[in-house]
Formats: sequence, structure tokens, C-alpha cells
Amino acid sequence: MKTQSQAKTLTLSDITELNAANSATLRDEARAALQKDLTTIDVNLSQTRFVDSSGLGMLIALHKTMVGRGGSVRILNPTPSVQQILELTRLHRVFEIVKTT
Amino acid sequence: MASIPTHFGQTCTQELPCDVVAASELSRGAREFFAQAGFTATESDAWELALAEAANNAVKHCRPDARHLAIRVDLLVTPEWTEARVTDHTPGFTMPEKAELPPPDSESGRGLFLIQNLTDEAHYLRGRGENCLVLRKQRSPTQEPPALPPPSATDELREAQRTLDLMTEELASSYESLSAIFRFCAELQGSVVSDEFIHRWLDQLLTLTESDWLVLRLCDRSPQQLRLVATSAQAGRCEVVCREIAATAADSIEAQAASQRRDVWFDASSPLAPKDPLRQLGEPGCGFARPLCVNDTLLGVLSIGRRDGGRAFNAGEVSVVQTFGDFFGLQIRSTQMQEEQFRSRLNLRDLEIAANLQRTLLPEQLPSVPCLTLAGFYRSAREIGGDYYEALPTADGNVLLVMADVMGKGLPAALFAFMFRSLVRARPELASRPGEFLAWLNEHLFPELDRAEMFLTAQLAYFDCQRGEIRVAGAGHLPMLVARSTSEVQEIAAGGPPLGIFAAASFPEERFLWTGGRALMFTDGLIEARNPGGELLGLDTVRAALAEAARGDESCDTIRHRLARLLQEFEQGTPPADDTAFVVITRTSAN
Repeated sequence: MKTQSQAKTLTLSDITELNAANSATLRDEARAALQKDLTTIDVNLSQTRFVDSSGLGMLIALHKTMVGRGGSVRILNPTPSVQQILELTRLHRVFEIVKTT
Repeated sequence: MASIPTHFGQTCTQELPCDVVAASELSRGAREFFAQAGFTATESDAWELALAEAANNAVKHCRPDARHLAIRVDLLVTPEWTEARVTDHTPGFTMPEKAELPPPDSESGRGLFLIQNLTDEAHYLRGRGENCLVLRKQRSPTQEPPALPPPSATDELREAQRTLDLMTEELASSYESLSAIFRFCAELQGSVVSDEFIHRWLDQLLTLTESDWLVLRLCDRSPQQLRLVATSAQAGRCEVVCREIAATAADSIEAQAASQRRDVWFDASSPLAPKDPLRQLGEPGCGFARPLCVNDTLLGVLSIGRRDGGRAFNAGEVSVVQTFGDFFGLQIRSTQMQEEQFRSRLNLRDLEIAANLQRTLLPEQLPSVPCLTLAGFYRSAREIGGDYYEALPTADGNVLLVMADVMGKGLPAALFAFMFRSLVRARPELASRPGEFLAWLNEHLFPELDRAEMFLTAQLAYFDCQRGEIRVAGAGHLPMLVARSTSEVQEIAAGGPPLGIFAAASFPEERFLWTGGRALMFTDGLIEARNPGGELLGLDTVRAALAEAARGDESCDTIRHRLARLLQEFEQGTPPADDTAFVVITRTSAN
């Protein structure tokens, strides 16, 4: 996973899978990269072919962290299969989903 | 992942160590397997996620003592449907009919929801030590399976065939158990569960689960006792299992299953107690006892097992036993209800016969006798009792008054009253000697009364009109009340014990002159009438009423009405607990 900070946004990208095996690690990496002035995390899921319920849990954990500091988590360009899971679990109402392509 | 074509379809079995990385690899591998079998990307995605959730749950909730055990995943693909089985070693859970999503800010709790929504069927079979999640999904109809690759190696073929055999065997046993249930249902068609039905039922279960023995006990006589009803077909050795065990027996897993209302297991690591009755089967090996309950009512216990060396029951087999047990419990309950209904119909019939008998017992009208006027009153309580009275004119122009009360109610009481009446009528020559008459009645009634553990009280009063004399003898009966116009009410309580208590007894009689006034013979229902506060009417109140009537020179009928009104006003609608009978006697003339 790549992390990149710009202005008040931390962008996470290069994520192939968000699953039970890696979600805790990715969450901790994201939190470690979270500087104080950042208010938004953009999770780029354009390369992500698989998200399970642990991966969804990780996204919600980050969301709660950001809400705590008055910010939010946005999902960028989810692949169709991931978009489908977000909708099935109604989390598309929790996260702002941004499609730029 | 191995794949192999057969005429059934493709199968794949994978065992994975208990960690989340292996679980991720497995679901990825499964996706490849499905892609190779010609699944669409959407189908493969759905199966990958469903299996990832299932495998993650198996890893996350694995019992600490079972972490060294492999989690097994079996996949079966046919042209019409796909099935996956994930065998775990968790404490197990109850599959909700429809899993709900957790609150949006919850970081967990979406696994079962995803599994149910990504598949068509999700069942969870709970076994001992291991459980099995069975997922099924129809194949997408547009799907054309590609040409299947040829078998790569003989051992691969053997491995795949073994997997397939196991799966079809498990599937077959489920379907067989279902079809067996339907077959038995059709056979029963509302009739009661017979011994033959039970034995065929148990044989079927024994075969389906490849068990060595079965023991069925029911608590049909008392909820505290488990009675042996049937043992398996190989019953040679089962005959020695003790007939009845207390539901509280500490050494019996059958009793434990009954009292704790849960399956109780045994095997080499947790063997039966040394005194467990199931040990009488020889070496029971491994198995479990399952309580049979319907709506929290315990009906019995079904125990099943394999002898030493037999393999443990798998989740599918446990499920078959549970289904059989539940169905059997329902059948037993339904039979019990039919029997209860039958019995209550019998009781109704019994009461009807008793009521008819009693109607014939009591005289429609007391006969007119030379020197007396009589007025009788009878009121039955809710059930039929054994109160009886009669006035028998004698050949010499006098009269014998008889009052009796058989202990108890229902048909037996009415029958004894009937017998008593027949005997009284059989010996009119004894009428003038009531004490002797009672002794004779006792002698003839004692054997039957004693056998039935019943007794009756009676009072005989011979009115000698010529002499103006009454001779009274009683058998455990209440006194006769006699009011002379000018004096107080007297109690005539002469007599001996109730009839049916002693094989031989004597009954002293009392003689006295009675030239006028009123007399009353009655059963205990009169003085034991209760008001809404629970108080008894009592002998004193009845005495006072009779004294007042005597002073007022009231007629027989008037006194009967007075006493009936007294009862009614005192009871204020309280239902009588016992029959009530009385006869008012007035002297017509001094002859």
C-alpha cells in the first residue's frame, strides 16, 4: 500500500486486497501516516479486486478516527465488485464514493 | 487446487491450517477453481467472498485446543448448482434465519450477512468437536461449462473420488432421512405410535447413521422416570439395559441429557461413568444422548452410539439424529394427546353410565307408607356420587328407611350404591332388626369394598307404626335427628363402623318411642355445605332449623323446602363439593 499526503488529505492506494490477513496492518500503517492537520483520507480502491468484511471493518475504523477529528474517509474509484459489496452492506451511505474516471 | 471431472461434476477438497493468511489463500484458490470450471466473474467473486467469510470465521472462532486441527473445505460443482462445505472446530453458533446488518459504525458483524446474501442456501450443522457450514448456490443459467480437463494422475483421481464419495454419502444420508420421515408420516396418517413403528423407526436411524446401538427411553408414566421403550435391532445385548432410570440419576448420561435438556456426549476421552446403565451394553464406544422435547416438555431420551473402534459421528450424522429425534418427539406428543383425548372421552362415558345408574337408584317418589309422611331431597355435586336413600314398606305394615353414602365418586361409587340397594332389597325379613341387617350387609359387601379400598356409611331406621317405636342402627353414619313437638332435638347416633372396614362387625341399635314430631336422616353433604367464606353449615344449624319447624308444626314438604332454602341461602352459589341427600319424616297418626 502506498500512502501520500497532500494539503489536508492522506491518500491510500495500490491496494490489491483488503482482507482478514492484511486489514489490521493497513489500518495501522494509515494511522501512522496520519499527520495532525490532515482531515480527509482518500482510499483509492481502483486496484482493489477483493474486500471482505474485515476490510470493510478497517475502512469503518479509519472513518471513525477521521470523524473524531471532524473529517471523513472517501472511497475513490472502487472496482465494480467492491462497489457491489459496499452497496450490499449499505456502506455506500456511510462513505462518500468519488469516481474520477 | 485439485480438480477432476466425473459424471457428477467437479470436486475439490482443501485442508488449511488455522490462520487468516491461509484462509485468504484458500478463497483465492477457490476462485481459480471456479473460474476453471467456467464460472462468470460475478459468480466466482461471490464464491470467493462467501468462502473467505466462512474460512475467516472458522479461524477466528476456533477453540484454543483445536488450533492444531485443519479446517476442511469441500467444493462440489455440478452443471446446475454449486455446494461448499466448511468444517470448523469452533464452539458453534445458531444460524439466524436472516442475518441482519450491524449498525453502520460497527467494525465487525457482517460476515453471516454476506454469506447469506451471496448464496442461495446456508445451513450450519453442529456436531461434537466439529461443525459444518453448508453453502449452496444455483449456477447461472446462461453458463456453458467449458470442456473439462482430463484427469492428470491416478492418485489425483482417487483423492477426488474419495472426496466425492464422502460428500455424496453425506448428501444421500440427508435426503434419505428426509424421505424416510415423509414415508413414515404417510404411514402413520394420524394413528398412534405403535411398538412396531418405533422399532422400524429406530432400525432406519441405525442404518442411516451407521450406528451400532440405540436406546430409547420415554418418561410416559412420570416425568421423573425414564422407561426403556426400545433398543436397537442388534438387541441381544441391549436386553440387559436396566428398565427404568430416575431422571435425576447422576451416573447416567441419559438422565443428564434429560435434566439439562441438551445433547450429552461420551467417547474415549470422556467415557461413561462406571455405573452408567449404558455400560450394560458392553463397551459403548462413542456416541451421545439426545433429549426428546416438544415445547419444553421432556418426552424422553434417545441414545445412539458406535462400539469401540468406531469413528466419531460427523456433523451430518448428528444432524440426521437430531432431525429424527425432533420428528419422533412430535409423533410421541401427538400420540399422547390422542390418548388423553380418548381417556377424557372414556371418563365422560363413565360419568354418563354412573349418572344413569344413580338415577335408577333413587326413588322417583318415596312410597306412601301407613303411619309416616316422607319428603326426600337429593342434589348431586358436579361429579356423580354414591348417596342413596329409600323407604321400603314391610309385609307387616311398617317401613324401613335407608340412607347410605359411598365414599368416593364416579362409576365405582355408583356401582357400590347399586350393590348396597340390591342387598337391602334381598332381605326384607331383616328390616325390623336394623343392627343385624347392617352386620349382614357388611359381611356381604366387605370382600368387594375391601378389594376396591372403599367403604360406605349407612343408617337403617325401622318405623314400627303399631308400637310407635323407631329402631335405628348406623354404620359410621351421621346421627338421625328426632324432634318431638315438645322437647329439644335428639341425636340418635347408635351404630358401628362403616361397612367395608372390618370383615365382621356388630352394629348396636337404639330403640325409642316416637309418637309425634319430626325426624331427619341425611348425608354429610348437608352439614358440610360451605358458604363463600369457606364456613360449614354445621349440625347445630340443621338442628335449630328442625326444632323451629317442629315447633311450628310444619309439614314434611314445608320442612324440605325450609332446609333446601337454608342450604341455598347459606351457600350463596358456592358449588357443592359433595352430594347432598336428606329425608324428612313426620308421623301421620298415632295409629
